[in-house]
Amino acid sequence: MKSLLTFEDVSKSFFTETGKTEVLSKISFTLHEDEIIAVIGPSGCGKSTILNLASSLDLQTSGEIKKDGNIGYMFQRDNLFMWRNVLDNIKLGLEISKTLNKDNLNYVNDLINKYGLKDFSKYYPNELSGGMRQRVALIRTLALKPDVLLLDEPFSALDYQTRLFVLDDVYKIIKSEKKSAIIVTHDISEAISVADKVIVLSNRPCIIKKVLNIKLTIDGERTPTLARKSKEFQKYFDLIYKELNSYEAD
Amino acid sequence: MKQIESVEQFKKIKRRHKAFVLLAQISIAILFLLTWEILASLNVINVFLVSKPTDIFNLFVRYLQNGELFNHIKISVYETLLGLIIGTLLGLLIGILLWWNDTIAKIFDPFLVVLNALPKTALAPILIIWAGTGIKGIVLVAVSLSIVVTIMSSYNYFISADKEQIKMLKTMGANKFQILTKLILPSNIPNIINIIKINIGMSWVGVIVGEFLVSREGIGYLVVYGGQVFKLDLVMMGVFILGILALLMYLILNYIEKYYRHTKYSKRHKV
Repeated sequence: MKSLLTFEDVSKSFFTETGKTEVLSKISFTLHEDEIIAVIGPSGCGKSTILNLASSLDLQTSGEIKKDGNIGYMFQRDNLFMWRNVLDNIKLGLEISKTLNKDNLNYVNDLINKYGLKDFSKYYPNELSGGMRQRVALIRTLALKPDVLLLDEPFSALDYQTRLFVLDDVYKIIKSEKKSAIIVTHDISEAISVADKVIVLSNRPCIIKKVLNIKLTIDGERTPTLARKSKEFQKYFDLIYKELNSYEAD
Repeated sequence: MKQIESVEQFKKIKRRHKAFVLLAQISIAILFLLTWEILASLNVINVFLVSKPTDIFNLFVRYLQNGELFNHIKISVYETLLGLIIGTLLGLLIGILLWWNDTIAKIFDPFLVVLNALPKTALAPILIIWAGTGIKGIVLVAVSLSIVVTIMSSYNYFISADKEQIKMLKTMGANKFQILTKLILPSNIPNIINIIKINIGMSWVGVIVGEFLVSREGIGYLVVYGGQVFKLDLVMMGVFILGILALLMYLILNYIEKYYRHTKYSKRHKV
């Protein structure tokens, strides 16, 4: 399998007036094609830093990051611009990268049609539901044809019901577009329900404590909702729960 | 309380309420002018000091007929608009510069605070000497009043733009200029409209003060001349015209703002 993103002994420290804070310590993992990795860990342990490094928003202090392909980033909030309608929001990335050509516009239109946004393309964000807005945000990210999607605690601003629905929705779209993804979360069941591999991080300075390969028996096509109903789900949940709680005892 | 049973009824109640408010506003204005007129006619209040509405109106008609009034209005409006436009644009430009470069913002911070706290009208005599006693000097006074406020508030608006949206643009590969044009400016249009609203008032103050100091024409000149020759009708007329002009400018801007909100933020789609 082709590897799209590789971290090799990556460390990251921040410097402030009060001293040096080591956030990541020798993190190594590989993201393969068609794979979803969930990164889970205690809050403030530097999960987001991993995504910042992967998307070159920040530079690592040591170690190596190998990338093969484009990176797309999705945030906690949809970050839609309220003065742009759905179509213009989706075109934002193309405007920025100055690739607003006919091919890309056709591609955007295909995505819009395929994922049921056609009737809404002239709507403004404040006229859409939370779930719909997340879908627009995802299409906006996909418009730039990324190979790897980075999701930073996505949908945590949504209420629980909507969140489950959006998770299924986004999962299906990621799979049907054959993208790989790294999803950072603090929600154990969310991590198990979407990921092929769960990376459990320790407290600061954060190291990889455990890597779990998730194998679930599911009838038919996998969706996050179905994954929650599989018989192995509870076993993985308990495992990760124990790992995460062992820091509290430290 | 009455139960609302249909959309028509709801609209009717809304319309009635609106009509009532308007009627009350007009009544208050008429009542005020009427009381003033009656008290002045009965010599309860001193006409020499406070004038009276009919005198002011007659004077207004006279100035209107000999065409002098239009000249005064024209020159004052011209100066105000010029001051408003230059002050706002230059202020925004400097606001952008400060947003662009943190170090420049830090360096100029104390100077801006001092300039903001200083009553700019105190500088008016110097500014007029520097720029000349014509329109240039008066416009400069108007600019000096609006520019500092514009710089400070626009800079504050610009730096409080949504951090996550900036990060998102960066992940798309945006440079600083793109962040400015795609996010900072468009997201702040309502704020910029507010700044312009404040600047309308500021520019008028600047123009009137400037005209008080040096000028042979303009509303400020009329007012100060009226005061010097103790023609209080003239002063009152000037003040009234000022009020009406300021109101007109404000209404025009309100209309632009409303239009912008309607077309930009939501198109009501009936499904």
